[in-house]
Order: sequence, then C-alpha cells, then structure tokens
Amino acid sequence: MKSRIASGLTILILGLLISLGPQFLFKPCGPVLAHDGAAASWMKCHWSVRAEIGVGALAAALGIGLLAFRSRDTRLGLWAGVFLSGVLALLIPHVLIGGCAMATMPCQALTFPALTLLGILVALFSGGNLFFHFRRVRG
Amino acid sequence: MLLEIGGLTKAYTRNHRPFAAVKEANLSLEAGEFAVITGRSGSGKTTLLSLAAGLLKPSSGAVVFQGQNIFTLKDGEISFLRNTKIGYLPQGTSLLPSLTVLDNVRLPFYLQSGGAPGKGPRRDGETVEKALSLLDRAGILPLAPAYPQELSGGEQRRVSIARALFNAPALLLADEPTGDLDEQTTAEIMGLLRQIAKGGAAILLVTHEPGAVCPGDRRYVMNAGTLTEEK
Amino acid sequence: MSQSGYSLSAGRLSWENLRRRPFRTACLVIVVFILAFTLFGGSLLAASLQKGLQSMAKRFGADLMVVPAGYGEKAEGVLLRGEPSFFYFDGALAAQLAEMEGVLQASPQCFLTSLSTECCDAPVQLIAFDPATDFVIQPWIAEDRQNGRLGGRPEGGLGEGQLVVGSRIDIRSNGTVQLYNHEYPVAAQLSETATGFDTTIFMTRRTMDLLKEAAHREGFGFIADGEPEGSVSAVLVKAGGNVNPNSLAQAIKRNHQNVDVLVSQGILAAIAEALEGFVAYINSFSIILWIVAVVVLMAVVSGSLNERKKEFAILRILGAPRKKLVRLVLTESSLTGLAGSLAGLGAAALLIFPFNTYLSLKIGLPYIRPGAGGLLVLGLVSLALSFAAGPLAAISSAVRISRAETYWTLREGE
Repeated sequence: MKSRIASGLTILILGLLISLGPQFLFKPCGPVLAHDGAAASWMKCHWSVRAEIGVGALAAALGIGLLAFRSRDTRLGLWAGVFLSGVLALLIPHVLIGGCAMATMPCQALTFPALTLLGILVALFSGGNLFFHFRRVRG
Repeated sequence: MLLEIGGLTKAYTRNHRPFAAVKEANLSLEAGEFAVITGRSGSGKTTLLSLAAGLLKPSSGAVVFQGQNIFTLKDGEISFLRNTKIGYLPQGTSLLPSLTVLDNVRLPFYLQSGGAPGKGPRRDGETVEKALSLLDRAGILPLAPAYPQELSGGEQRRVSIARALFNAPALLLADEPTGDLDEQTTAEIMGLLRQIAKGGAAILLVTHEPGAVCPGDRRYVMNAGTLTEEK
Repeated sequence: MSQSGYSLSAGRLSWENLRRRPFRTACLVIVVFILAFTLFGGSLLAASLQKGLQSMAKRFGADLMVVPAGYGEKAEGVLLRGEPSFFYFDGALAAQLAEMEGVLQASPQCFLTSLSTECCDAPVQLIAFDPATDFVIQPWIAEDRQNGRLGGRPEGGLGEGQLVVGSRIDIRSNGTVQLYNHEYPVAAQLSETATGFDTTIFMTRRTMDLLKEAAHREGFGFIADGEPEGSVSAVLVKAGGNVNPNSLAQAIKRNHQNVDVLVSQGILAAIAEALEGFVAYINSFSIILWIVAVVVLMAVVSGSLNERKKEFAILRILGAPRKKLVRLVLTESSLTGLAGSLAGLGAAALLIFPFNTYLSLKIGLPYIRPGAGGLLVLGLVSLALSFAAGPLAAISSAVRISRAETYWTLREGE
C-alpha cells in the first residue's frame, strides 16, 4: 500500500524537521554573552527549542511506527499520538515555554513561525487521517 | 401514424464535390411496428437514423413524429422529445465510463429538469427501482453496481437498451445493435428488441445483416443513399 | 438489493468525472492553487506595505530631526528599524531652534539603550522626551487612548517612573518592564507603526534621570555620564505652516555647525518610491499570472473536452439540451476552481501569517498587516478572481461542444 509508506514518511520528515530544524535550518537567538565572550545565559527560546527536539523525535518515531504497522487499530493509536505531538509542538513555543520578549528577535521572527507551520501541518495531516480511520474502523 | 419521413435529403461536400448521403427518403411507421433497414456499410443508414432522431439537420425534407415536424422545434423541445419519446441506440459502446451500470440506466431522468411529465419515476429512489427493473428485464440485474469497462460487448448493449427504455419511448431507433456480437448474443438481443415491439413501441432497426429480418417486419433496403421498401 | 437513491445532479456527474481522471483534475486544481496563492499572497504583501507606509507617515510627527553631525545614519536606524544607538550634543540647541524663524515647535529627546540580558532579551532603544515641549509622543498616546487601545490608562500625563512601550516590546505579566535590574510600570503600549518605535521604550526626562540614578546604585555606568549636564541626543522640529522643511533644514545647517538634519519628508519619499516599484511589480506579476492561468486552463479544458466528445454526444442522444452540457462543463471547472482557490488561499495564509515579522524584516520596508476586515476583503477578492479563472477558461469550450452536431461528434469519437 503506497499511501501507508507516503504518510509514514511524511510524519517522519515533519518530525525530524521539528526536532532538528531549529538546530540547523532556522536557528533561534544565540546565548547572551558575558564580557569574556563565554555564553553567560540562555534565553527562553533556547529551552523551547530543546523541548522541541524531544517532541519532534517522538513524532518521527511514531512516523516510523506508521511505516511498520498495518493493523488498523494500531495505526489509529499511532495517528492519535502524532496528532498530540503536533499540538504539543505548537504549544511549547506559544504557551508552555515561550521565547524572547521582542517580536523581531530571530526566534519570534523565524524559528517559532517555522515550528508553528510544521506543528499545524502535523496536526492537520494526522487529524485528517484520524478522522478518516475513525470512520472506517467504526463503519 | 407515429413516424413519417418524407423527401428527406442530406447532402455534403466531399472531396470538393456534392455528395448526397441520403436522397429523397420516404418511410412511415405505426406504433408497435418493427422495421428493418438493410444495406452495405456507407450506404447512408446511420445518417438516416441520425436525421430521424433530430441529431442532424437535413438539407431538405421532413421528419414528422406524432404529427409534428421535429425540425421546426427548438433545441430544448427536441431534446425533451429525445429524452422522453425517442430512444436511440448508437453504434458501438455508448455508456458513460464514469458511472456505474445502474447510474447509466437512470441517467436520462436527470438530463431534463423534473424528468418526463406524467409518467416514470419522480424521486431519486424511484429512479433506482425503475432502473433495476429494466436491468432485470434485460437479464443483467447482478451487474448494476459494475462499471461499463468491466462488461462484455453483449452486456454493454443490454445496458444501452435498458437505458433507452428508461422513459418508455414510443419509438426506438437502433443502429447496428448486434454489429459486433456473436451469433447467440445477437439472437438474444434481437429477442429483447422484439419483446419491446410487442409492448407497443415502434422499432426502426438498421443492420447490414440480412438475416435479422423476420416475417411480418417492414423491410427497407438502403443503397447509395436511396431508400426503397421491399414488399 | 438495496441501492442508495442519490441524485445524479450536475454536481454529482462532474464529481464522478473528476474522480475518474485524477491526473487532469490535479493539473486543473494546481493551476488555480498557484493563482490563488500568488494573488492572495501578493495583494496581502502590497496592502501590508501600504498600510505600513501610511502609519509611518502618521507617526513621524516631526518635520525635521536635528542630531549631532555624523550621526544622521544612526538616527535613521533608530527611526526606521529600532537599531539601538545613542549620541549627544549640547541641550541649549533646542531652545535656540525654538526661537528660529520658520520653526513652530522644537523638542529635545535623549537616547539610551537597555542591557541585552533583561527586558527584551536584546538591547532596545530608550527615548526620553520633554513633556513640556513634546509634540510627537504625547499626542500619539492621547490618540491611542481615544481609539480605546489603552484601556483608559494613563489617565493624565505620563507619571514619574512610568514607561510607554512600542507594540513589539513584551510586557511582564505584572505589567512591568525590567531595566537595569529595576522594574518599571508600563503605563501604555502603543499601536503598531512599522517603524523603529515598535521596539522603543519611551519615558519622560525625569524618569530617565531616575533610571540612571538607580542604575548607578547597581554599579552601571553610562557614556552619557561624561557628557555635560543638559546634553540631548536629538531635537525634533515642526516647521511653520508655509515653511518648506528642506529650506528650513538648510537654514539650520547654515546657522549651526556640527549638526545633521534629517528631513522626514525625504525619508518617506524614498520609502514611498521603493514601495511603489515593489507594488507595481506585484500587480503586474499578478495580472500576467492570471492571464497565463486562464490560457493554460483553456488549453487543458479544450483538450479534455475534445477527448470527451463522444461522452457529450451520448448525453445529447439521451435528451440533454445544449444548456445542460454547458452547465456540466462549467460545474466541473467550478469544482476544480473552488478546490484550488480555497487550498491556495489556505496555504498562503498558513505561510504568510506566522512568518509576518520575518517577512517584514527581510523586505526592509514598513510592513503592517491589515486588520480582520481588510484581510477578509483581500481574501474574498483573491478567491473570486482565482475561482473565476476556471469557469471563464471553460466557457468557450463548453459552448463549442454544445453547438457541435451530435452526429459528427459521435462519429469522431469512435
């Protein structure tokens, strides 16, 4: 079944982007430097992005599960997990941890919007699949 | 008289020369009659049927159906006539590939708003019942949920006939309905058509097989655009 | 045998047709998708830039800004982009300028920057104004209060120790902002301006003095500490009714050495020019894309209808009037048009809304997103234009196919 591989891969890639994107592609604000150039302290965005590593890895792992498992009930559970991880990916930067206190900072301007987009995509895609599976499992 | 064709001529220009596909054809048909036109391919049979169904405008002459010259009607009126009173079976396959057999048969109901007045189904559920009973009569009820491309040639032809009968037409025009079928299927299809004629509809059949004619039929021969009745 | 008795309406027939030809349907949807995405994205960008320029023009308030010589560019950075900066010259200049012919009002401002570790996680511009002569900040606060943006506070003028912050400054949950290890209450947050003021913190001269004193007690030092008493960073000047700001700027430079004069008209004109080019580019691109989309759709629809001649001949034989054929073709193109334009609009919204700030930083022009009403209008117009491309491209083919004599289309289709 092609759609099984396609949907599993999609979630795997989105999960990896949430997890690793902020580390390499859309980096948040750097550390606040002390006078000697050492990192003196980290701002909130740093910890948000740290948390997203875990959330993204979770989504990616569930995506691997979607590649591997065929049973409808198992997939229903996996999709539910993916949906929740998408919601969590949205909540971390906006509600649970947050970021720098000025809208023009890199994390607020680039990192968080990218995470928002990825989180919405994961939530929409898994929500749609969940709806579709739920109807089929019941019907 | 149900159908009266008088002095019907259709001329084209072919290879820069005038060419008459149908020349001064005359034909008349009563309700319940079974008429067969035989002739070689290219003799103008299909053109004559298309003219009779109002699908083609003649160069001159008239087709009078139930007392009315159909070429004086507007597009909406003649479409309505084809939808409700004149069934036409074109050559070859004529089913819509995107619809199931069942939906192909009940399609005519949806081509005119509100369906045919006074007779036939009124609601979506009734169109299904009607279509199923027609498929049953044509002997292909189990094929209702199938798609046309899953059917054999004979089965497709039966579906076309069931569809042509959906609004119980007074006249059925059939263009080579058995042209590409084997002997046994041909016999079955011809039997189905004769059954329909017994039910009161007039049938005008075009074929290149002389064997299709039975005693009691009106017989016509078409030769290079000229139609002559054989007594 | 139970069959559901659904209706074979034009919509249903079209849907079945589209479903059977997924590749062609996808092509049609994608063309409209790209069109809708570009129309909505482009018009949103253009509208945001225009709104940004308008608000910037409104907020500049002063005709001229007089700063120490050599600091013109830095001052422009403060104004346009909120790049923190400070520089000082003799405060007596404000009084001299106020006396000058052609000057209606003159008011001094003092600049300072915050530490990066607190408040805003990056240094921000602090601007102190003189409540007695100020004609820019206080009217702005009053206007925002009148528009109900400030929720009724501050009641009177700005109190001692209170701050007014720009729209992009985050206020702590207890309503304060921390500067040099001290919390200061925020009296008001100003509306968005698309200028450097959005990341600026305003206060009175008195409050800035208090702030410096408190900072000294914490062991912080300032460059300004070495400046003579009464130094200021800039003097804002409002020209009299008939006075040309450019000539006034020249007059000021003649009378006073060691000053640079920024003319806000000039700054605005330069931005307006850049904006005009950008908007013209977006508009012409949109128009060309729309035409290309209609032509491409026309080709696809026309090709597919030729391929489906036999299908339409069958419908005619079964008694479909010409009008019905036209309706079927238009319904199909409307369905693909609707799907494509809704998806395109959604995708544009999903991309542009979160990346709002990033875009505005990248474009480098004042950028303010229109309000809900403006967004609705832009969305509906983009939706209508991209949706219309489908049926518009199909109509000529639809009429052609309905006019064809069935006998011939049937024979051709064999």
